[in-house]
Amino acid sequence: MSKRIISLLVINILSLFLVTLSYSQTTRNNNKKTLTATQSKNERYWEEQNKKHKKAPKDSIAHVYPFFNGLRVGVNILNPALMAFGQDWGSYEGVVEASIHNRFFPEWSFGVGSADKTADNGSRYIGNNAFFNRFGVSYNFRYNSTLPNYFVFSVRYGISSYKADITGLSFSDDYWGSIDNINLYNQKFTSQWVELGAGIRVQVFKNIYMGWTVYVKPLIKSGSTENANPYYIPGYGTYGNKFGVNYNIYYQLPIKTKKPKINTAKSIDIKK
Amino acid sequence: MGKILKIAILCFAVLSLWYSCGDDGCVESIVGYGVGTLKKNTGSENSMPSSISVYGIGQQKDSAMIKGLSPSSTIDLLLNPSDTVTDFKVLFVFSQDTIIDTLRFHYENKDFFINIDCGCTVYHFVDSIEHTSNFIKTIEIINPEITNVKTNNFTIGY
Repeated sequence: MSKRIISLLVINILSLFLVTLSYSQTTRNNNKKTLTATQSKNERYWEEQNKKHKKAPKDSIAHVYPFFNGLRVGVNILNPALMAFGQDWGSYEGVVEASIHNRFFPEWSFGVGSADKTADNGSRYIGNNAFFNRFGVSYNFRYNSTLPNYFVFSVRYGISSYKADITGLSFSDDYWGSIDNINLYNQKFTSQWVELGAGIRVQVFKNIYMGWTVYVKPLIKSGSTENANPYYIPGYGTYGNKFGVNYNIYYQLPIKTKKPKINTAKSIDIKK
Repeated sequence: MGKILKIAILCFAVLSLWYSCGDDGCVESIVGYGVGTLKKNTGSENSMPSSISVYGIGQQKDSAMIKGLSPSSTIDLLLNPSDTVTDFKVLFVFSQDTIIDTLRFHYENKDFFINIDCGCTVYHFVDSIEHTSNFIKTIEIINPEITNVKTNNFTIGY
């Protein structure tokens, strides 16, 4: 039932994406119609330059923002919040990401996760605090937009090694009877997975960004031992749950970068 | 750029829907059966029984594990998870009489935590199977691992 709700949620989010996309495209078309005289001059200037020089500065047109466009650090605020509201597993995680042309955002996220789940049947899964790492890149579809909002598609690889104690298990069959109090201590897991996600980020204050990403997370390696499947994989979530949501808050470090080239074009035009 | 975005969103939507097609709760069998089949040996003059019944020896209620099974069906045996040896009394029922054989499974047990909903199961690794030879002539172990996934584990030749 819950997966159906998640499925509906994802479909709704995607619908929202499509609506936003349509809206942004409509806005862009409208903007085209209302280009200011200065912007038209800029475009004409670059067109002339392109014609004059076959090796036109295509990069400067394709990428408004410089190669290194800044560095951000962030934290996931969803997981701690859910844990505060009683979720019996979760993680504390940070992220560092660079902006390349405001288009690609290579990132490294890391953190520590744990679980302590007691089932209705009395069995208990205690996953000790364990570190995890994720490496990946996000692609911003609005990389040349002057607005500080992003639509991103992310691909990440995650890995975590962790231990767990599983206690109070029982097994019964109708014919031979039951075995109670089975304990599986010190189960060592190493899991690897891939995350494919889509999301948005918006600037809420100067240098402060917030955003969410919805993921599907195929497991490359579950890390199941001879005696157990994991219940919770730090950095991934619960085993068997192939969806994930991140809600992060970012701080753009005040590192000076080159100014966006749209300003350069204007200045050229003005000089002209 | 628009095309890439649309393709990305489409891929994401398809993957999301694909992954959402699961079920909640425990959908796995937590009990593992040793699955056997009956096979007539080459040159054997024995005829096929009309039905098969199986009793687990030492079971408290002394009730039948399998009763009146068609010989063409698989024989699904539950090994005792609290022991490493389980004996079965197998009754081959013919129209005129009944022939009884005894099977003895020697095996190791391994507890396995499936998930928090399903809990724990016990896997068995069969070392050997002994038998009397009133009707049964041979027993061949095909797959010694008895898990919650059903596979053919042994063949009874007659």
